[in-house]
Amino acid sequence: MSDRRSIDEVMVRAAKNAKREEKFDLGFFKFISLAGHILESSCKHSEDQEDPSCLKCKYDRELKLEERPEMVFARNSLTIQFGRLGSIEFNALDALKMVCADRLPDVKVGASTVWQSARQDRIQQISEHQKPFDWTYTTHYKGTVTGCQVTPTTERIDMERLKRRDEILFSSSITLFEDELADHGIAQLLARVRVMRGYFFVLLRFYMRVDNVLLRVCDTRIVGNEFDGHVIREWQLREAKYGNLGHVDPEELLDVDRAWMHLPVVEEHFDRVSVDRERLF
Amino acid sequence: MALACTDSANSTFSRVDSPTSGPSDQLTTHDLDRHIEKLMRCELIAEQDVKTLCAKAREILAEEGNVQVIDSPVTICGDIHGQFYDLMELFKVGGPVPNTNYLFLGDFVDRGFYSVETFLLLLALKARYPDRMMLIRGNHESRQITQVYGFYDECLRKYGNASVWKHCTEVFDYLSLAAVIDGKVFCVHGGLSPSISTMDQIRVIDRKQEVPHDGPMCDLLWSDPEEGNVGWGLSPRGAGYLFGADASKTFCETNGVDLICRAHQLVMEGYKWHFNEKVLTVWSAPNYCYRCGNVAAILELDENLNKEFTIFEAAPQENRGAPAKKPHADYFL
Repeated sequence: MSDRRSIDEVMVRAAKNAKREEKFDLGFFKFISLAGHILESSCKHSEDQEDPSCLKCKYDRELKLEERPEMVFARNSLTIQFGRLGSIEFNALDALKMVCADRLPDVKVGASTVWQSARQDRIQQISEHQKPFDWTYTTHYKGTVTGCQVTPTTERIDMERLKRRDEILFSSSITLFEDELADHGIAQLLARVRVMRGYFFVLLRFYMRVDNVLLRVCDTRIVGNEFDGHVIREWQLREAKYGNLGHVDPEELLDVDRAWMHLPVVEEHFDRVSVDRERLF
Repeated sequence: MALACTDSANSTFSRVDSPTSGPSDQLTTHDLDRHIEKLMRCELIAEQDVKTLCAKAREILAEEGNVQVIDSPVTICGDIHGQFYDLMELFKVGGPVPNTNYLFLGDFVDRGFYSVETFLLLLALKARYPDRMMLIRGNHESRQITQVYGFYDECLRKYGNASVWKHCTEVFDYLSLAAVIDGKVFCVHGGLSPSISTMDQIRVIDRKQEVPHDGPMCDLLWSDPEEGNVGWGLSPRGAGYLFGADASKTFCETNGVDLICRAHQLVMEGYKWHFNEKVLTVWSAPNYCYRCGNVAAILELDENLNKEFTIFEAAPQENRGAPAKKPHADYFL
């Protein structure tokens, strides 16, 4: 066996190279984007020992999921701070806690009918999967709110303003988790921010594509102005079966930034996330 | 050879440096060395050369069995996924061909930026050193999968038409399905199949086709081990087998092998043991998809099948063709 120390050295170097931290201030708001390598597949400490800093143990403890996405960016997060009063944070653990851990989704991969019909006899001999879970990792997560009030609102995000090519002062993009659905598509949760003069836009996007079967996008959009004590948060679930997307160029369906607008809205919520503005001064 | 070689992309003449050869379907050692040199620099070779190379590779692969019989010492590598510059790192830590014997467990293409250069280089090395370079098929070596996950688009982008993709996919059909080292280490891309109990059952599969959805050929390329499972399980996704500890143990005992070595799944540490060291996952694409931050591993087996893992990182930015640029700010909506 190769020298354990040299293996550890490479691991430490790789972890250091993967680490990234970006910060930006806009008026009352501060943006913090952290990134690192994916979650380990085994703990570094021995089995009979506990290490409170071990992220794998934390995920094992706090998540009921039978399987985790193959890429869990446990070190990544995007935080919007409202002065020192509150924050909205996006992280993988809280997002995955909202994935259904005890039921199969109502979708199967494209190849499943052919695959199963060719193996009927044998499949009957194999006991049903013990712990069904939502392997599409669909999450309705819209961020972890601390210290802010959340109230429903009739206000809407001005999408026309977001379409303007205003100069971008700061931007960051981090993945929270991703799974290749065993090469049958993709499930991905991505958080992005861009800050323009006077305002900012955050997009948290869950994107799921079961190849040739189903497309689903769950977006959380947050827009705020530099000296407001509140932001508008819009949450939207869109989905469509491939069968209903015959009119769209298949290549476009592989690129979520082009595909999402072709999907009809299934559900949406609008709220206002705020702190006491007077206390921000 | 003193004669200068033209690198012209539209050269369809028979080569002046191989006067004995017939038309372009003959490939000399010199041609191969020239292709290797070019591909090692991550440069493309001409479409006509791809055609000849693929024909040559098919000829060699057609002679190989479904289960390639390999002698130690050999270095086993997992998924590469078009990460060309990281493959160069792999050769740096593992040793150059032909000094080191290699066995690659498939998934050469898709997802990375340089599937074309990666696959053609591996193929050129295979054609040049057939006994020192072993390639087996992964689930991405398929027409259907490469049309979704990048290789097809990359061929179209780099050559302007789909003929290179077509030549390559014809080679895919000839790749072996498994390998066995000194009769003791069974190697496969995905894993086991419940319809396969002996290696002889793999040997009789008609492999020269697109990876089908039915039959054991599909299972070998697609299945995964499942911790906590004893026998066989079904993927909750509705397609794909999961094999457990007992299924692995039975296969090893029946076939007299000590270890099942496979790739197919990303692991942060580059390799992972399963089922009390009966099954091993090896992953050789560091910083997978250029953002996972994982390390990669190769497994070196010496003449006595002693195992040594070598772990390596992604190629440093300065060794990658394109400079490190932060992707330009994007007006996402």
